Amino acid sequence: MSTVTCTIDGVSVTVEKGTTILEAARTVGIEVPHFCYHPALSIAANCRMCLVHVEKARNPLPACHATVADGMVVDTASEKTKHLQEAVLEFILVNHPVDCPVCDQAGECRLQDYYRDYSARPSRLDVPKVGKPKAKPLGPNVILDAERCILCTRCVRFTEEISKDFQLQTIGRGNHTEIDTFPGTEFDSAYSLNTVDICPVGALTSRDFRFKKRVWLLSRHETVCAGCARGCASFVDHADNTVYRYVPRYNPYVNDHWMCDAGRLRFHELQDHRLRSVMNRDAKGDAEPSVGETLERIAEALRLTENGRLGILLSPSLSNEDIYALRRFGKEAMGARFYVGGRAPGDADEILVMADKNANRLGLETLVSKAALKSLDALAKDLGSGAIDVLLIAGEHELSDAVIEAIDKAAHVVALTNLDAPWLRAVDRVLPTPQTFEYDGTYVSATGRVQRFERGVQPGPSVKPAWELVCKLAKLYGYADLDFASVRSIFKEISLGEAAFRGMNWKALRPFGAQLAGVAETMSPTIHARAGKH
Amino acid sequence: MQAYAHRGDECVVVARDQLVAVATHCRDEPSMHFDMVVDITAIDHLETFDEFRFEVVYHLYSLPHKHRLRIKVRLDEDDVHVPSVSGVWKGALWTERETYDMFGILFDGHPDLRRLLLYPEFEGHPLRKDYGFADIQPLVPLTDIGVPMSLGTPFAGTNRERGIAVGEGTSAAGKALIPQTTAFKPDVVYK
Amino acid sequence: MSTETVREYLTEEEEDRIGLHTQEMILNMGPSHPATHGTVKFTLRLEGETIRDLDPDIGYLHRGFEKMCENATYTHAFPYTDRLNYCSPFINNVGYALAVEKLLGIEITERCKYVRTIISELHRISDHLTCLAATSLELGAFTVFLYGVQSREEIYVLTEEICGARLTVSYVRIGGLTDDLPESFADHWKLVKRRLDKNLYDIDKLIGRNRIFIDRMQNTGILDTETAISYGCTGPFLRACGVEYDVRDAAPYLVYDRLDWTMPTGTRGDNWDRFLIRLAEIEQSISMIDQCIEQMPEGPVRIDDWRVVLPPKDEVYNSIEAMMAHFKLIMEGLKVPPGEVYSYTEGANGELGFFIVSDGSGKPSRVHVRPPCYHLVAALPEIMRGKLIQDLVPTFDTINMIGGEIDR
Repeated sequence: MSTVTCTIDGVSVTVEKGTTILEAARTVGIEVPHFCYHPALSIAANCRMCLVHVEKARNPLPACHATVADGMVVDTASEKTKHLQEAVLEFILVNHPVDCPVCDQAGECRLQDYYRDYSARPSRLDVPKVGKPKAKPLGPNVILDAERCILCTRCVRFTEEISKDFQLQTIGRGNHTEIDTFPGTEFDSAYSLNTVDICPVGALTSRDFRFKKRVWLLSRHETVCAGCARGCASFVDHADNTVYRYVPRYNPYVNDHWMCDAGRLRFHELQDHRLRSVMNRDAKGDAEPSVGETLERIAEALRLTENGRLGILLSPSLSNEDIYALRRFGKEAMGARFYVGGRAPGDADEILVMADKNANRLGLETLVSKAALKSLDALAKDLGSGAIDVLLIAGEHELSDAVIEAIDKAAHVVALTNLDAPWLRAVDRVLPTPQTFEYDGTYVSATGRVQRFERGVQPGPSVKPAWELVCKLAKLYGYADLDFASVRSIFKEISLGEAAFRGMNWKALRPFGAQLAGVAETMSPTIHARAGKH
Repeated sequence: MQAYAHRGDECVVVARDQLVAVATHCRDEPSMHFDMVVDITAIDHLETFDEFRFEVVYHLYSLPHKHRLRIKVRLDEDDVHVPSVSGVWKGALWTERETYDMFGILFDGHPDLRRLLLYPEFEGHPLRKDYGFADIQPLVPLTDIGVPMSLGTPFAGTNRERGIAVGEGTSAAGKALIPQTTAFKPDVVYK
Repeated sequence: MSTETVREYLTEEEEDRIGLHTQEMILNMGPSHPATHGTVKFTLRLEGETIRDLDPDIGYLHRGFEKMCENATYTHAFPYTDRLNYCSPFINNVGYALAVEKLLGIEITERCKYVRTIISELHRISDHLTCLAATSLELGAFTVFLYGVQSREEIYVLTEEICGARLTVSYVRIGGLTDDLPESFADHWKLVKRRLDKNLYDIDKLIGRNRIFIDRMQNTGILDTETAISYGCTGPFLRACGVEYDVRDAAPYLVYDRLDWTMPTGTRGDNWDRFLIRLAEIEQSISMIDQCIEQMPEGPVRIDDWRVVLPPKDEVYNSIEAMMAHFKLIMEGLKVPPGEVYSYTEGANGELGFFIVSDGSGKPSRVHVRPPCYHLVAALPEIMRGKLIQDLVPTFDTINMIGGEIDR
């Protein structure tokens, strides 16, 4: 692991041997503009935007490709280099259509930003622009505008190296080169929307997000995708309390720079089929019962229940804090029996998608030991035999008809859940809980990574997180020991009490999370895929 | 003490306890002779601070020598006290009142520190970056003849004596987007 | 000023002196008062007609200019600056633009400098006319008011010709102006000047030697030089005290160092000196405008850098470079490198300063205005303590407090 020392813009930089100039400059905060370079993809060096002057080199070198040598003197900001950057931009913009007012990328477009910061000169070239297909759907999720494409080939390299389905290629040559799929095929990869993220211009855009919102009107918060057990770190972009899109967040231990399309688009389901109001089956009149009132009725019912006759059906899609609050209340106050349900498993692939579609199974199994979690069959049996009077269902579940029949027969069923589901017809009281992007909490991914998500969108007035409802319920029931001021205090107690979470700190969970004790730390599978590349 | 010049403005950062001494020296020392305090204001660095949140800025001008100086005092979030320079220059009387009004910075030793531009019942300090835009301020009933002198009239002492809380911001508004910043590099830095 | 309540009775000596059994009175003058132009309230502690103490209560026109600028791009702030000193909006525009250009470190074109000087002086005349007219009005000389306002009206018509608005001008931009002066400007200015000269002559004839007027203005509202400097007073106020301080002379900006002008100063520091100084400054401004029109070179009025100035519209619609530049300038604002600057110009009332702090984005992090009349009104209690309430009227008039400027 030898190091080399070079000078970039007068600053001395020491890096590992084999580091490129661009990466070396990044370590000291010097940003070299680039289009085709991406840290997770192979190096193409075709955009020429990163050309820098190196002393004693005959020609300017692309900083994304040239490796640093001992004693190298690099200049990225002098007049000479600036002249190069202006020239490169002038050429790239020769055929670029005047689309900013209708282009989705405006506001997050590299051409706009680099033009303003590195050039701002009018063009000297006055030639008719080359026409190419515009608004051509490449697949179900991605739409191409070939005129805007600067042919950096990031998308092509992505489909070759990361999603490995080779669905995009450059066709034609010279001025008329375009990106396209093989004739007769669609760009239907399960990871197609990642190309929209990495496209530096508005050539590839998301069909789902198209024309919905201008990006500077969106607020961005950090969250975790709850589509499967991978728990890809993402950003949720929202405005006016509506989510507009999910964008992946870099986490080398979980998902690298990527996310699958299904997880990304899941927010539609979460927004369309969510529960908004409290439901009491025996309520009179049309007015929505209040959360406090409903909790009081539930507490009454619990007071009449003997110890050991409360059943709690937990979902592996609940956050750690929800699970912890339910476990403590159930065990200590009521001696409850715990069951596990959750969403049904689905397909998996070798890249990011996992078969288990629940976000927090490992967290559930760590906080409530696997032995204590009984299966759904056991639940149906216990309900049938009358061993349980009150059933508390928390989280998302997919239940078979047999189980729903059994639930229907139970005396008193309460649900704390976020989505509409067929089993709700068997439930007596429903209290809505928020979606992942509407509250603060933590999930543990299947690889043992504890990640934090934060509240971005405001949930409605009757929507409260499950842990908050349980704390209120405990107070009304008469169990005073379960009073948490905020989610941070629950997490603190978990980190102090649970061996697996020992030493974790809420603040330190940003940005990449923390590893659960006892689970070996692994990097994202796509990083393994690009091991050995720059 | 830190000194730099940027775009032709000379600036020096001074510690809080040295402020009055420095100010008096600036006024009295013949080669400096800063006889006029042009302006006193403050800057709130809420979005970009790590050590200090507020900077109280003093602009001085010298009529005989025609040169200018900016003095800055850096304050922490929890300790927004600065000694007043109203004993050195009378121009500080109103400018410090306004800085208190807008930022909640307390000037110790100011003879009459009360709100200047805003009405006395106003809650919060508006030029702080975490002032809630959507907050509704208390409406004041029409004063009638016979209102006691102690309430809100100008000759009746400072806000602190009247028990009106100072330095407390109102509810936090949504987090502002962190602006993309590069480090501020002054044109000339004096060693 | 303490927590004591109103004194019920005077001491025996004072009663003997006055010969009356009296009581101090607290009187509110304002905020709606014919003699205080601008919304400001004076709480007066009166003993008969003598002011024992005076507390100016400002802030009735506080609109949160500084807070609004933090949420607006640098260009959006121009309409806000119009409304600061609304008697001379061009001067505010120019002052703000100079501050941002200083922070950017750019040089404007020669012609732009001349045009900015012309419009600043034009509105300096307008502001001084307003002050003189209002002062005379409040002391009873209604005709002088009408003459002053008549010329001011013609200046407004000229302003409207330049930029389309009489008061809410928003004419200046960072890196230049919205557009060049109209071709007819020089000729129309000659007509305005002719009438203005005649009006000034008439004003001088009417009140320049009028016993009543001079008696009310001379030796009233005096502040000694040292206290005035300590308060930070500048402009005609300070020049009336005899101090030769004018930002255009001490730190010349735009083209003031190329013009031939004198700085009128007074001797006594009273209202009469301030009145005469303003009259004299109008004449100087007229001469400056003439010189500028003569010296002004041809050429562009905006700089050529698309990072700062909007590109021409036909290029915006037809070339991607101009489109992107336009897009970024409008949506994000022009990017100013992080830093802070204090830039000062001579407003009609004194040193008008802009303190701008930038964080590198398109919106300023802090904009602070140093209003010239702020310090003058701060000094008012000291001037008026022990004086008669009728002296408050001419003193406040010649201080020329502009509500928009002092309250921001």
